[in-house]
Amino acid sequence: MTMKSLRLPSLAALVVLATVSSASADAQGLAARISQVRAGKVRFTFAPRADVCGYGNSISRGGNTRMNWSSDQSEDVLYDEECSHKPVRLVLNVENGRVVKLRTYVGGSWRTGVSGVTDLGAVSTREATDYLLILAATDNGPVGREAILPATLADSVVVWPRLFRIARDDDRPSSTRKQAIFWLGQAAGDRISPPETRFERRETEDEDVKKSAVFALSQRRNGEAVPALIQVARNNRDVEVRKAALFWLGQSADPRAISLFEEILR
Amino acid sequence: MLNRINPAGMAGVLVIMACLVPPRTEAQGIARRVSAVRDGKVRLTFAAREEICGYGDGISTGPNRKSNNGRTTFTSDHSEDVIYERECSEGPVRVVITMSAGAPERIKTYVGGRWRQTSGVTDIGNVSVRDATDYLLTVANTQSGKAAGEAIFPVTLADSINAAQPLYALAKNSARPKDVRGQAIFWLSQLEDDRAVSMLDDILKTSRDEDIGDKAIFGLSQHRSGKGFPILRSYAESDANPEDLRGKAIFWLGQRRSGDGENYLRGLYSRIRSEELRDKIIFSMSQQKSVESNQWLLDLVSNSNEPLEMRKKALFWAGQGGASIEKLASMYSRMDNREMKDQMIFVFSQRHERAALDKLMDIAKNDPDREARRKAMFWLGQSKDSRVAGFLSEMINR
Repeated sequence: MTMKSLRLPSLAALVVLATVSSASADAQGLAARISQVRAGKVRFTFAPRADVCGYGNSISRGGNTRMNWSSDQSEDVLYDEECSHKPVRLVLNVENGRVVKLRTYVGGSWRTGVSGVTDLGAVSTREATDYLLILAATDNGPVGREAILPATLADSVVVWPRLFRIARDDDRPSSTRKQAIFWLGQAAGDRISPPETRFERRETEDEDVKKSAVFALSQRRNGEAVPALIQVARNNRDVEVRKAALFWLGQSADPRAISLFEEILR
Repeated sequence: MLNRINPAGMAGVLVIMACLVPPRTEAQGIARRVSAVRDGKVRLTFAAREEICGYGDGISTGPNRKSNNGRTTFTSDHSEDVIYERECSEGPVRVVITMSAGAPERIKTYVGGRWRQTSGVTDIGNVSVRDATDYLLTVANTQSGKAAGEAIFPVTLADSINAAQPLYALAKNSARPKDVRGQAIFWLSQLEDDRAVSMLDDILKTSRDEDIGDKAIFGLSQHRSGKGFPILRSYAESDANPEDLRGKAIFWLGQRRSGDGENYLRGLYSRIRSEELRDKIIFSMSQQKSVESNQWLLDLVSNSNEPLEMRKKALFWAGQGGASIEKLASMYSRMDNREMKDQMIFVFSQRHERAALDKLMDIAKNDPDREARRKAMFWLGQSKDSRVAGFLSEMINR
């Protein structure tokens, strides 16, 4: 091992360390509290974005017209209203000191009378997202993928720069990278068409048919249609059609799509 | 008590008992010699029917067998026991019985050739046809496992033996495993003897087991005389028969391509009310693959008095058959029913001609019905045609 051969990797390591350390003492604090639990459930809450609400087993983003992402059974949370806005609730299943499952809810109230649960209470969005994104960047199992959704729900925190790193990290499992790319596509869509502008908006027939065409285009094999979808996402007159193109590009896991998301989000 | 004995029943008992009577002593002699081998192969030969020959791993029957256009080829196992030096090797029938723990486990059948020289095989040599078939039928009537079913085929190859009656008795014997009875029905259907047809008819009409009925229907459809088809027709017509089996009869009627068969199926469609059976008739008509059958399907598609489901099925099968895209496209323009339009769009998507894709693009671009445009686009997205990506981009950006 010579100094010369160490130089470049060391520099890269420093960058990574700096990133991780800025992602930070807070997260380490949360991680340390979680790691004190050897087995059982750990739960905590943090503030969500304004356009998010939860009910039963699903979470809705961007008002009533937006899609739902189904989560697991709400075995931890009780709901007494259709669209419950606050807070984001996370439940971590821990076995042998390791997080093996992560469940995300929005709103409602914790079920009571459940034993074996360590409640960490409310944490800052910064602390929560730092912890979750470190988990996504390091866990090689399903937890890495599961950690991405709640990070995207946090209020007033920009998570996409770190999602880009995960999306491009060849060492991450493909399911985690795909999840990161999907949410980057969502973030890019939100950038060109903010959720608050979409309420009560009625889709035109022309827009509906064009969105069907975007979907049909996205089904072309071997990335054949990625350049065409990128062109639509950049230039189409209709912002909702552009957004549909971004959505389907987010499903493609194509590096050209990631570059486009970066171009839009930066 | 005596008064209550039914003479017809008594006769039936006697027939069954006759079938169960131990076979002749010579066959018992073969059985004894075979079962003396606890584990290993036993082989024997007997005279084959004149019109049969063997080659490699097949056995061919029929008058044209030497030109290799034999009417039927029954694939047997690989000839691991027999060497063949010419293409069509006549008799004898060669049977290899693999014994396991003193019982037949497998039976392989060959015709012609000569035995491979192998150690550890007991060769009983040539035996009379009668002794061999008695022994094999005893195996079929008493043993369990694969050997029982495999014992039937060589019986049908034996010279100067009419296997119809013993196969019929075996097929009717509900105490035997279904697969053995099924084998008996199959080989019964392969016999030239026309009596086999009435036996199969009887099996079909008297069996309460639908699997056996199914096999009898297949057997009737396979008999070379063609005399099974009138029986299948009358079976399909009768409401008293199980619908599932009537459907099977219609299926096999549809596998025989003939103008007469088409006319019959068309008539049957108008007489039958069951949608399940009508569906089968539509499929059977599609298998005729004639101009007339295709036109019948298209007429059904256009007939708004027909149930929608039948029209959709007719359209599907017309599309799978040879209906021209031009004809289908012209029908599309006259359709006012949403589901029929959807079905037609699907039919276009399943065709690989350029004209079908052109029509889909035309619908996606110009159809006044938004749902039709959406459906057409969906199927365009699934197409492998290189024109699609450009077309969709143009649609999105126009």
